[in-house]
Amino acid sequence: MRSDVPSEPAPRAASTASAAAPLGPWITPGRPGARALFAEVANLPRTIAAHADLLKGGLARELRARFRGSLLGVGWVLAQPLALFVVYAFLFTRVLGVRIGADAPAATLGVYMFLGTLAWAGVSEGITRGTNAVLENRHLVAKLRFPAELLPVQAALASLIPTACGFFAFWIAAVFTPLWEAPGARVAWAPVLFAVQLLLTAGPALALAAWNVRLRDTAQVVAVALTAMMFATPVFWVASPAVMPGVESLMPLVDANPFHHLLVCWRSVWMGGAPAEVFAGTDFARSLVIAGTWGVVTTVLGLAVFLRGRRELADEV
Amino acid sequence: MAADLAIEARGLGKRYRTYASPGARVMAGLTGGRRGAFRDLWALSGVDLALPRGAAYGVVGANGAGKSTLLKVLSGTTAPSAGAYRTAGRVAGLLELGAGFHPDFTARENVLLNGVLLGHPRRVVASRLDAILDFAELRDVADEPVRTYSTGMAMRLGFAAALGFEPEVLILDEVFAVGDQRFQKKCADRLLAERAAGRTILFCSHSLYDVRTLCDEALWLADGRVAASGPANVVTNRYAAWQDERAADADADDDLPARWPRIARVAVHDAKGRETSEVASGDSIEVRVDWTNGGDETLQLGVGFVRQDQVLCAALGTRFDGLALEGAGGTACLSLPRLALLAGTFRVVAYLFDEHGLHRYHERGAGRDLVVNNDTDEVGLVRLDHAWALEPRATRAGTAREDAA
Repeated sequence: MRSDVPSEPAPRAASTASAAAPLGPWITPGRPGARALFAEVANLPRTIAAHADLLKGGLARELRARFRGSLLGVGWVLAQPLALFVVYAFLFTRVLGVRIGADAPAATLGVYMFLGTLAWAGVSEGITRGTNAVLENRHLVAKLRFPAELLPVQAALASLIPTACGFFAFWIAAVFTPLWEAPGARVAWAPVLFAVQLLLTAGPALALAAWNVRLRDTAQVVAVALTAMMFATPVFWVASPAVMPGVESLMPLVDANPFHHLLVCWRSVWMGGAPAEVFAGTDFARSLVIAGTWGVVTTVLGLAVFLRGRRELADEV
Repeated sequence: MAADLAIEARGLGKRYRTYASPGARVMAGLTGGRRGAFRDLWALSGVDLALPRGAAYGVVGANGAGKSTLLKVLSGTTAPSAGAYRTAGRVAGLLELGAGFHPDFTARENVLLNGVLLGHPRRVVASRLDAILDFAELRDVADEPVRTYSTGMAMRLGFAAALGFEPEVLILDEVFAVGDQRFQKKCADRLLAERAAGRTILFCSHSLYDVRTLCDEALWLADGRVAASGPANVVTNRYAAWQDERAADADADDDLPARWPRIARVAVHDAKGRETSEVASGDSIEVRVDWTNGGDETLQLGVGFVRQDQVLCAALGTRFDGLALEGAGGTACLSLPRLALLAGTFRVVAYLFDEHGLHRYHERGAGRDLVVNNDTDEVGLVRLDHAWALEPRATRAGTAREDAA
């Protein structure tokens, strides 16, 4: 909503003694200007606070919907990633016998890929679903007045669930089995990393959701781009010349990839920064700052893209 | 006095743009609308409004005249393309029956979801839930998915939910469109109560009767522009007259062969012989049908009463009564002493059939829908001829009898 007054100032409510609400600001056509847009972007935390119950309800529904009608119920939250983890560990230690470094535990590469897969799956699912979030809820967007930017945000938020469940399962396994050493004090960074991952997911999701309403090809492009991005990001490979000598020339590209930095952070939290070969040339603090900065910038830009055309959405869905 | 307004609009317009292709849309988007193949349709233009607080305002107009667009813009669901408007306080819009309801969720979940979507704290929504379900009379089925509801039930839920959070301004689109006369009356009573409590109501309706009884002022939209505005009965009368005129014009346009049998006019007359569109249940009325026939075959005439929800409530035919229409034309007068229909809005339609009542040559409705009111509390579709007998259970010696006329 804009507060531009077309012809005369808004009448003051002071002229009536009643407690009734005065007339609000004039609502005019057109997209918001730079200043109004900035004010709206800055308003996101307040919007989220005002609709906290909507987001909470959405998360609860998401959890229920995922496991409704299943025998194990919420147990799947742990069972799925655990099974994945066992497969990875078995594949790389027993079948392929791949080892990183001489001293590293046998499961290293399995754990490395498992953690990368979990984080990437969350990001990828969040962006995919966020892109479709507005179109899928067109019955709401076209008929109700509510902050539609919450739809992609909610999709991004829900995508943290599989990641979080997987990490939790890994934590349990690391504490109670000899497979891996229990993570140390760096686990305290997990909430911050979740926030960074949320920003890195919500930012693209917001812009893409707005574009997808206007051009349905967006979702298709996103699917292809995410697959490409998965291979460009060190999910299944190690971005360390010490382990994979061939990647040396790719390092500048990898360093420019915010998702690489997110994975570096997650892995150093759960793997404790060891073995040294894998983490050679990485710096937890630097990666956190880079990923966090990317997250904030993409979210602000994505939100600006979304809010600029926000009022036209009802006509276009 | 401007501070006493609940809604104010100046030169309000809404443009819908349709693109020749997705590519044209991208082109228009990239060039800010300077390039690309698209067509603009102004669904609304130059609408000025000044709605005083606590008023009820009706919007009338033909289909596609921009009524829904106006309500959609004013409820903030979509942005205007020209002009400006402002509203006072919380605006609740009920733009479509069951708008925003998810078919797979229960009534309870939907009301909760709707409430938190609109920014009410879950606690507040939960505390109103029972009152909302009670008003909608859906408490017993509140835990069934909404997809199992009838249209009427979904409408009741939508209406109750929209009113449930005490909006200052209530915007309603065709809420009286669905059957169940009793609930419609309940809605009308509730709206009058809300209005008395100082809330502002803006609604559009095809039922001129509802607009006249509920509203002080009305607005008539034609092709997206204001055709008239002012006191509700003045505006609705002008609109009704225009409807009649248009129905007459439509005659000239029909592409029936020249010699084809046709109905020229259908009108309802009251007991005094005056043409009318509003009667009371129990009144004597006459339906007059002017017909012509260029050929020489015998025709049959039928007259039907169709309620707003497309229920054919009664159908009378010359063939059923052993009559037939002979000759080149005339007026068939169907008298209905003591009209049995109870309150509702009915389309009075006449049909011309061949002599066996099989092929339908022509059909025409009365220019205006017939609004039937009833003074009693009786509900239902019709008032059947009846008599009561109240017999005490214990003694068979004395029998009390009480007859109703």
